[in-house]
Amino acid sequence: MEGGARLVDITNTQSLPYPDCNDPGDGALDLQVLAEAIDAKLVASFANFRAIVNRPAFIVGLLANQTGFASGSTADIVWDNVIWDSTTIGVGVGSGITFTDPGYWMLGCWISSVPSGGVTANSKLLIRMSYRGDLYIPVGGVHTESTAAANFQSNTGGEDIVVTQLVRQEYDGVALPGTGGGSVTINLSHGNVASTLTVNSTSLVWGFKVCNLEDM
Amino acid sequence: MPGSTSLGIPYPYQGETVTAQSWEDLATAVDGLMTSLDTIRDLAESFETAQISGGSVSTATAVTATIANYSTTSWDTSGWVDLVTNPNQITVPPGLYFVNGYAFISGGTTYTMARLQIMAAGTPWAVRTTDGTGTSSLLLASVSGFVMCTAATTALTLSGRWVGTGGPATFSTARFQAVKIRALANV
Repeated sequence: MEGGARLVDITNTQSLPYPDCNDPGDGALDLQVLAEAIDAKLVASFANFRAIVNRPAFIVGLLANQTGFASGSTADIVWDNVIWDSTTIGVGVGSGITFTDPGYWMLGCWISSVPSGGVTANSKLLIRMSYRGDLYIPVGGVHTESTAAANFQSNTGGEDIVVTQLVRQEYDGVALPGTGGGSVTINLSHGNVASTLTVNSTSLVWGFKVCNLEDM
Repeated sequence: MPGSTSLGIPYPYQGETVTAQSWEDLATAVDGLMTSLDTIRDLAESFETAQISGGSVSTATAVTATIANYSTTSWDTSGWVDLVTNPNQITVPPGLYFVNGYAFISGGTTYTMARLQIMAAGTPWAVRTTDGTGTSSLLLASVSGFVMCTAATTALTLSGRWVGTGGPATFSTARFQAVKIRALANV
């Protein structure tokens, strides 16, 4: 039967080919088509599990202290140091940290700040983490979430605040590069009228993909 | 010389004789690949994680001290904890980790602030300050962070610091946990 028409059956669930009962099953092609079919299944399975194990994640920081956060106003921290990045396209830094992989993401930040001079005792310090993500439907739609944590500046050793939140990111930004995906912004406001605040370079923003969206 | 698929599954070329060895070679290759797949699936399904609890440290005001003497290993899936040898740490291999810590503080007279920090090999990766004008006791919120560990082994520890009067104050009933999010290199 080599080179001629062949009779092939397939298994019920994985559609793996094998010679039917009228075929002696001794042809090299029988093994090749089975090997190729198994190969395709395994390639897909490896890719699926590797996508989980090698989950996208990022850690972003500051190359230097960021100074001049004045009381009574809200200002974004501008990030400029990618410490770790395993996202598909790569994170973008700036006042918004952009990332594109869809899924449920855990985001967090540690903001370390210190007054540049005097301290207004018990003045409020607020760190807000805001997420903005583009939606598939409606086209051009935007999904936003934010959370915040506050503290009071009652000591001269500076303040350290941690904020975390889980977000759902739909649009991977691949179809329309530069227009899709999500971004996370950290802004700071405070009431320390005695001096401006400095955000220390030890501060970090991080994120990791927890799992796929339910329809992926 | 047989042909092979992209993953190396061998098959005889057309015109070559199919033998029992042909089938054995194919089956053996598939067996090896499925074993590799099992390994990756296990990594995908099971996170490596540990929690230690019951730790404490007493420290004077304005002094940072590492919480130690954890009494209980709540869980330890990958052998990261040895409280006999290292009662103050979770020791992890390279990777990215989500780490969380928590403790009470008591024993001071007044508190201006109290602070918990997550350290990796002595470097802080997350710090949470709680300011307050408490008197007899102060409950600390937990601190959590995402930690990158690059050394062959890294000691994750939890430290406490407070400012106020009286003392020494004790950070106690501390809980410290870590979970590996991913390896540094792709699998």
